[in-house]
Amino acid sequence: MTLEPHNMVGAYALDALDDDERAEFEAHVDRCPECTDELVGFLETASRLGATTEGAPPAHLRGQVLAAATRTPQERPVVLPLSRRGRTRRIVSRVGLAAAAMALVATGGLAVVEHNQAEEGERDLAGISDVISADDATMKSTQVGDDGTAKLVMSKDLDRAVLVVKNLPKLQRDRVYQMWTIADGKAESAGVISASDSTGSSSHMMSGVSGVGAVAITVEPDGGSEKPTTKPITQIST
Amino acid sequence: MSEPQRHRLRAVSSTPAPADLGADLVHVARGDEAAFGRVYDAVSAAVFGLVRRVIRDPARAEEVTQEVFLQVWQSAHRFDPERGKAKSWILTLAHRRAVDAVRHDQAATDRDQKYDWSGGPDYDVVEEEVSTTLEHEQVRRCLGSLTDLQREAVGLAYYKGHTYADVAKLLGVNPATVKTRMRDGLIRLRDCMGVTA
Repeated sequence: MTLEPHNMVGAYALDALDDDERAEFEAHVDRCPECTDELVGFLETASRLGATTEGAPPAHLRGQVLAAATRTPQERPVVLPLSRRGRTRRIVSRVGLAAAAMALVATGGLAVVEHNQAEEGERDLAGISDVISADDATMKSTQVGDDGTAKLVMSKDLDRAVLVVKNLPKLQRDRVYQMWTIADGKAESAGVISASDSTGSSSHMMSGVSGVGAVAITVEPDGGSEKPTTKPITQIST
Repeated sequence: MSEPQRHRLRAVSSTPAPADLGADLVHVARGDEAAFGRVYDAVSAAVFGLVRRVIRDPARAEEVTQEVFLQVWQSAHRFDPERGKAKSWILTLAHRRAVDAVRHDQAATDRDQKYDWSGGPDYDVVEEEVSTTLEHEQVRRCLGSLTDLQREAVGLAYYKGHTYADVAKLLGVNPATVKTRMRDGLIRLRDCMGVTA
């Protein structure tokens, strides 16, 4: 144990470290039983500072949260070898959780919420949450029409991206939205967005995106096209 | 802009016994949606109260509150009932997330310009719709037992989401000193509150 990281215990428990220092401390605490003991007490103390005021959230939030949970897969517990279990391990997992929470915020936790409103297969859900929670995930967002949005969450490590669209402008009955990945000046179809998906919120997984420079959405005849036949209504560069 | 009101102490009766909350959280870890609803009912006011205090903007606080609960849902298996209280676990998550959101948003707006932090944080002044809890008196008393520098360092970090480096700038003190004051301030608070780790 060196004095310097140990001195960070207080600042860590108050969430007063920047991202780099936080990561440094979390790496350190793994090897520092003294830090672990102190940290457990400090986190409890800090949470009491946080328990001094209450304010009921808007009533509609309850239904929103419960509905989102219903559609969100839970993490699977990581089973540790017996020899590694114990006090230190437990606190580390607590710390790791906080780090995971941070990653989700940084990479667009909102997208998770929106994608939960979509009708998706279970496997897609798991894949989407992998992308969104990837360490290297980036998010870019554009406005489409008056109140529509398209958000692209991309993980180069996973070579996958998720396009989250919401409130796209209503189309004629025989038209659909189609997604395209643009690489080396070529557009490749990434699938169509069904009429019901385009009015609400939906998420669309794309694989093999490492060389992709942009993702675009065009309006195409029902069933989609082999190549874009109209100019994109939006384009997001990666 | 309305002047912040000085609150009156009100007992909050909705807080359930911690044991129930811990048991519910264990059920949540197994995918029990009814238990998740009970957890929400038990701590949503505490979570929203804390998040809003850090974030200020109610709409943003609502978003972050939802993210906190989804995180609780997804990772409830990480909660160890032998190791700590369920409410503390959830508030730890909520605080981290609120602070990260504030810092993220800070990139767009220079928050320090908007803050009136002169004269140090005022722990008694809270937003109108927020009520105080039974814990409040003890926390207030214990914060009062800190040195001014300890109290300001802890308060600016915890309630305003500042990093210790920001706190050092705000207070015109060496960053290393701020880190040390945060730690010894927390030691004093912990002992005053009778927290046993």
